[in-house]
Amino acid sequence: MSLSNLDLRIAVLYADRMSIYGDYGNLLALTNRCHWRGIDAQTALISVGDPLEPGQYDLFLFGGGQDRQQVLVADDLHRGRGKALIESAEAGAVILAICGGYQLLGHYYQPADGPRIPGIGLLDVWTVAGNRRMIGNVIIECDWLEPDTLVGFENHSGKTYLGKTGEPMGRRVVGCGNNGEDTFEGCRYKNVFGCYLHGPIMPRNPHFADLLIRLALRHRYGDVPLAPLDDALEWEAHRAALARAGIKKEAAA
Amino acid sequence: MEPQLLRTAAITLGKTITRTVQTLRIGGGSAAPGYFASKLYPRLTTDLIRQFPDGCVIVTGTNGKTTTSALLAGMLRQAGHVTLHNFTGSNMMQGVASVLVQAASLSGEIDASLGLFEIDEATLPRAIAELSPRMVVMNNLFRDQLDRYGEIDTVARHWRRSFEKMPADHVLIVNADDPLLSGLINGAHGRLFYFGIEDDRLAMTKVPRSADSMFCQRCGSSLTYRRIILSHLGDYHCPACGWERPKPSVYAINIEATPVSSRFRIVTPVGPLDVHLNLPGVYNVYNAVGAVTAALAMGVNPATIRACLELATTPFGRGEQIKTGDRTVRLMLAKNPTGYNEVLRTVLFDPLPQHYFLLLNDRIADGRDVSWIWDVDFESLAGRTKSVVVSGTRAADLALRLKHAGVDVTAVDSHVEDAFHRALEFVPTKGRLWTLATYTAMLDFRRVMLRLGLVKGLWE
Repeated sequence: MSLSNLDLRIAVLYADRMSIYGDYGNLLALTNRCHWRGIDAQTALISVGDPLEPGQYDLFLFGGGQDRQQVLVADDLHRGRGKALIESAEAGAVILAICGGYQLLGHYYQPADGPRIPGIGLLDVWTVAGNRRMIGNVIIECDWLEPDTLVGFENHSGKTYLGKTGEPMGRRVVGCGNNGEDTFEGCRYKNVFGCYLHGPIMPRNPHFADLLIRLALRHRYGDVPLAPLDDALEWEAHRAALARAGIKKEAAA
Repeated sequence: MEPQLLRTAAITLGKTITRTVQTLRIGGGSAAPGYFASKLYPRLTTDLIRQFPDGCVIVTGTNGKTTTSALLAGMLRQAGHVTLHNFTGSNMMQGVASVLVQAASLSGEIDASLGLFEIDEATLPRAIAELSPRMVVMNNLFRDQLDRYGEIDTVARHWRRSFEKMPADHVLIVNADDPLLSGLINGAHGRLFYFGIEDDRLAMTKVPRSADSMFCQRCGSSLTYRRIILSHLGDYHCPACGWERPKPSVYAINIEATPVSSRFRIVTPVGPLDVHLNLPGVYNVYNAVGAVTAALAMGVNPATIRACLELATTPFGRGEQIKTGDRTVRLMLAKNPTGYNEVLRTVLFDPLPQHYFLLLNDRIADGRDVSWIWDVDFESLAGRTKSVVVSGTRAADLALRLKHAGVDVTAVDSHVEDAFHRALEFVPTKGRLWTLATYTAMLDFRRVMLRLGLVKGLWE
């Protein structure tokens, strides 16, 4: 199949209410990496009250938000959008959820005061408010990724715990990760990835960005080979992050 | 030890640190002296400011503190106030204490009638408690350094609490165009004066991506704008509950802006002021109008105010012009998405492509998190550059951001001095190098300028 007539349908969830910490960079990196290969990436913003059908999109981005917005969004997810999201994920659609979005894909978020905010339970994780903010650079190692490092920046006080069936995205080498207690960061299930990696995560981790694009294309077309790109700047930024943490690795493809 | 003796010891310690730091040239010495002096004698600041017969004035907000307070300091001095001012921009409590220690005699006397302090937005509640200001000037509240300040809602909540505690005779000078500020000022004690901009020709068509607070501070609905001046600043109202921008008593109209200066009229209750301001950008119009409103509320006469605005020069690193042979460097601090967008917008007032030197650092004072660069509208630079050299501790990240924005990067070099020489090579005779830098990168750059003999001091 020729790449030039492929298209990819990306939905950005609640970007008007849940987009801080440069989450826009994730969308930009994904769409650019598609466009540079001649893949037509189309983006739709799905916000409170918008229609969302299972199978409509190949890739979802779900960013972080402030507490006040998170309550609104959680409420909206329970009015149909959450169900469509679960069905899409079960059918192989890709979801990348960061921070607040990650928490809402889990069972619940328990704030320090106020009622529990229910999530959609797509990921087997739950989150409780902590009294310490976990802020700083993060590096994790993932045994399902080649090269195996992801670099990012975390900024959260919620502590997230994996349930019995919850697979972590990786083990933290630098930073606090899910909760600062166990060694895990993030959670993945099928093609759903939830984590605390801001930064944003896509630009400086081109191998992960391409994996998401491949998985999203597979959801739509079956296996499609991706043309290589010149990622010299991407890997320079990735290696700079590793080097600043004192990690020497051959992290270039 | 007797409090009096302890205070003298603290002042002595602070002065010694200042001298040591300056002699050894290991920094600007604008935070450490106050920090250690206050450790020794915690009531130092509260004690020393009590002697000012005209009290204290605070200038705060995310962007424009240094410029606004510099403009206001000029006006107050011209009007006869002997003003002590933390002009270096060291704006946490240790910075205030350092200025006090340096100005005080060993027995604690300071030859000043008024304290004027720019204060970091996260420090404001503590500054209000310790300085009991007679006036607080509030410029804006933008997203900045989430890793240091937390979410913007949190900052606003802390502010609201401290305003509720202020006594009723205090004056609040507030930018009416910022819905976040005017929303949180609701219910605050004190006399309120609003300022703003009323000029539809400058208006942008949509709220930029970097803006945060487009929601009504009263009912949570989306705000509608009749006019957007910059970021989330403009003429807004809530279609759901009817809450709207308060009418400012002092505002700018007829703004004509160039990359290096602007002309405008300021409408005030005591008549209009026609101003030519040698500071670039729309953001500096806000800074000027804020300073004018504060000065009027302090009783400074309009002729004095206007004269001060005409003579205003850029504080260091904020549009500062540095001559290097037959070429010119314009150094612009750009430390968060809104500030960066506005600096880019200012440079792009010139329709011709320009030469750029962009520096990004991630030290504590810059914020360790550089993800904000993805919210800067670098796309506006695409196709409008002649050369772009990138430097700083996070040069690689900035280069990557520019790549995604479609901006051609000419060179990347994290070594500031080497990168500067490369950037300058591209600039022709009589040309201009636009140098945009985060806070510590700006200081790094000025250190290079100092070494090359192009500026007189690091902090001036």
